[in-house]
Amino acid sequence: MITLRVNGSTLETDSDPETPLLYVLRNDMELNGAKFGCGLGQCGSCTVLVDNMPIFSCLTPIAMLADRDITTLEGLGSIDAPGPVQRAFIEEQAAQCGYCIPGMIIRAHALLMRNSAPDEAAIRDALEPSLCRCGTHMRILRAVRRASEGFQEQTSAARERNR
Amino acid sequence: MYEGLDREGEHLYPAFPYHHFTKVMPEDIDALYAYLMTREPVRNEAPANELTFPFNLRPLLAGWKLLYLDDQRFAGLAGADEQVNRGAYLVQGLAHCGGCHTPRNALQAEKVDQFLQGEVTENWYAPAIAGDVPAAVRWNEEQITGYLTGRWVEQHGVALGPMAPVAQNLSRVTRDDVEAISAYIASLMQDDKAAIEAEVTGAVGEPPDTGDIGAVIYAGACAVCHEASPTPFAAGLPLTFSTSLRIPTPLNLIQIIEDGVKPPEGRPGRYMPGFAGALTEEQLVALASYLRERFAGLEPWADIGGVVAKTSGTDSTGTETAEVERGK
Amino acid sequence: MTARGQWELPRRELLKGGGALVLYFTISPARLVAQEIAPSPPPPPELPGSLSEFPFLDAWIRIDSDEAITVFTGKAELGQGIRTALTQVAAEQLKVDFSRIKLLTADTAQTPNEGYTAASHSMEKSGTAILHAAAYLRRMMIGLAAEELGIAADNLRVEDGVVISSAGERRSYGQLVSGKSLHVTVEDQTGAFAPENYTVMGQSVPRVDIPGKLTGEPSYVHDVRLERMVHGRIVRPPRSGARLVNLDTSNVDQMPGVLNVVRDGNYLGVIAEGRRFKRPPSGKEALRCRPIPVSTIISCNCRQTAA
Repeated sequence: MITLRVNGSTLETDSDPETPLLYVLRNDMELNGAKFGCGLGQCGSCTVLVDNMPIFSCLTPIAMLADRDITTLEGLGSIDAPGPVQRAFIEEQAAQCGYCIPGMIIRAHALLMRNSAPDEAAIRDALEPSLCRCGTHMRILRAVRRASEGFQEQTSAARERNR
Repeated sequence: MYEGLDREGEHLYPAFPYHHFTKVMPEDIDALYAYLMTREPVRNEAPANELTFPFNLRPLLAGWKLLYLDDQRFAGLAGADEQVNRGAYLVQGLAHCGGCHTPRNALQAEKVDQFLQGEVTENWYAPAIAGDVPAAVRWNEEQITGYLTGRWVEQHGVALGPMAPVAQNLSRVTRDDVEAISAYIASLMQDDKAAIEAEVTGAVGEPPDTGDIGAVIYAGACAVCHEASPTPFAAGLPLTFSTSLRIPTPLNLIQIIEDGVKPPEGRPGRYMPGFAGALTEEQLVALASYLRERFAGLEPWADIGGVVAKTSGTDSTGTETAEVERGK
Repeated sequence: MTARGQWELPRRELLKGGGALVLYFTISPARLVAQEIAPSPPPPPELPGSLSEFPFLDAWIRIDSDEAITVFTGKAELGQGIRTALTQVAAEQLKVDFSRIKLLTADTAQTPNEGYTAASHSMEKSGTAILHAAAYLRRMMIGLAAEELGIAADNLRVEDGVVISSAGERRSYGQLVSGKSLHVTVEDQTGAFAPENYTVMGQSVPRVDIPGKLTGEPSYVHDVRLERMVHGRIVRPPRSGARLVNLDTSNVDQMPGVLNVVRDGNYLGVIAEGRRFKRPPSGKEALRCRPIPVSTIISCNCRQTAA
């Protein structure tokens, strides 16, 4: 049995230890944010945070994650109370098919937690491992810039709301 | 280029490899000069010397040169054909492969009697490329040429780390010259390796020993690309063929696992995701240890944890950076 | 449209076995339905957009007696925004508030079969049909209200699905269609609002599906999870054009959770049980599913045909 901490909740799973986290998130926990795009760590649709670092959940066996904090898209906010990065993406309508966007949001969130005023190069560098096939790139960049404005105040407020 | 002196006559540090450039023929030096003089000049102030005493005393380099600088042009290799001679001229001179691949003594001079026998440079280990090379299977000339021009070579892989920009540059050099380099290097390598079957040892898809975290990580994070994959464009090197697992230090393996492999800017190429954020230091040590044993079958590395700790806080070019963060 | 009885709609019971129904099915070549072929009168003039295949009003719009308004489209939302845009079209032409309209997309049980969602045809085909169907329905509602109230249609206006007279009398769409069927042809396309009068169409309305997609609400087919759902995976050949020559499934047959190996010529797939996290521990070893590449389980010979 492996104990995982996802979005602040603990769960025990008897999935095989080499099972990639993505399968446990989607199949067992029925969380929709992280998605299967390639299974090879090349597209970024599966990106979640582990201790605030973006990782490919399709390539991370759950055995590596015992006792570490995992945050998925759902941990950043809900449809009724979206987090600051989600809100910025919604306001900028930064999505076409939307499949890559959770991964983009996760990476943007991790970036802003480290550096709340990133320059253009830093934003592009942080999002580089996530691919978008629809061509939403310019809106995604605008959304990240928008989110970085006032990020720090918004994050503490969101934590209070979702408590 | 020949004597290691700047315009004012001051000694230059051999980080600028003039002990290689002494071998270059005058007509090639002239050609270099002619080309450089067509470039737009830039104004650049060289940063001040920050070496510690006594290394910051340039006049001491006169002594170093007395010991280690042999201002002789390339004299030709006895008994070698024209192509190998050309290759030797390039390797010993302009390409200065020994600058990374030859072990250095305490005074940072290359050990001439251990030419191209391997050395740590820029936070990577440049393996031996002469004599008993650590590759799993032998290199033929065509493979060396492919590697040196940035291509993926079956059973060897692709140029990584500091060799990546080298391969990108060599891909723009005339083909004859690169083939000459390959011919010369191939002639230096010991030719006694057996071929290995392309099949991967061990049953693919078998569940790992769940008591071995290294085995579990390999099964869940690595096998999907590094074992016989139905998606050749995304395939990683089957690790039976990995040179990084066969060198005396885990340094290269750790760099690769943490930073992955990126294609050259704006061009297609192999891609491997980096795992720095996902793996804790302990997991990295366990994984490296497992891979060494399973795929190289050589004696365990002495102090993987020490190497991992030393590479923390630097990126794969050895540059200090605050950005590299490991899993906790 | 002022003759009395113009808008008299058939009662729902009269629908069954109606000859007109059969007629439209047999005209359209896409409908391979085994039906009696009645002797055919000359075909009606071609209707615009997807109305040509689905000319009936109730294929596109349903109004329930509780005022719920549902609009149907056979096209799918892919991120091109049609869930929002088609709702705008319906809202504009029905004169109903955007937020009151429920748009049902690409449902094989309920929506017209408009073929592929591709080639930028959704607004052109489906949007055109909905535009005319909605406009037609709005004018029908005005006509019905005019008859009921004994007022000229010109003295009536519509606000959010309610027909209102200058004297303040009100008839909602739900009231007006009560007991009636909308199974009539959208034969008149002159009633649509002109672009210079648009209030909803042409506006930049935030996409209704984006908030859910950005917060993990079920949005994609991958998010569908059904009871006793099993998992199927195709085994793809290593090269285009390869033929499946030989198949050895002895490894797979023994694996717990594998339900079937399906082979049809070159087509090869494996069906296995999924796992539910909430399964209680039992005496037997819990079934475990491991997501290893299926092609590594089944060894197969594939011979490449000459390119």
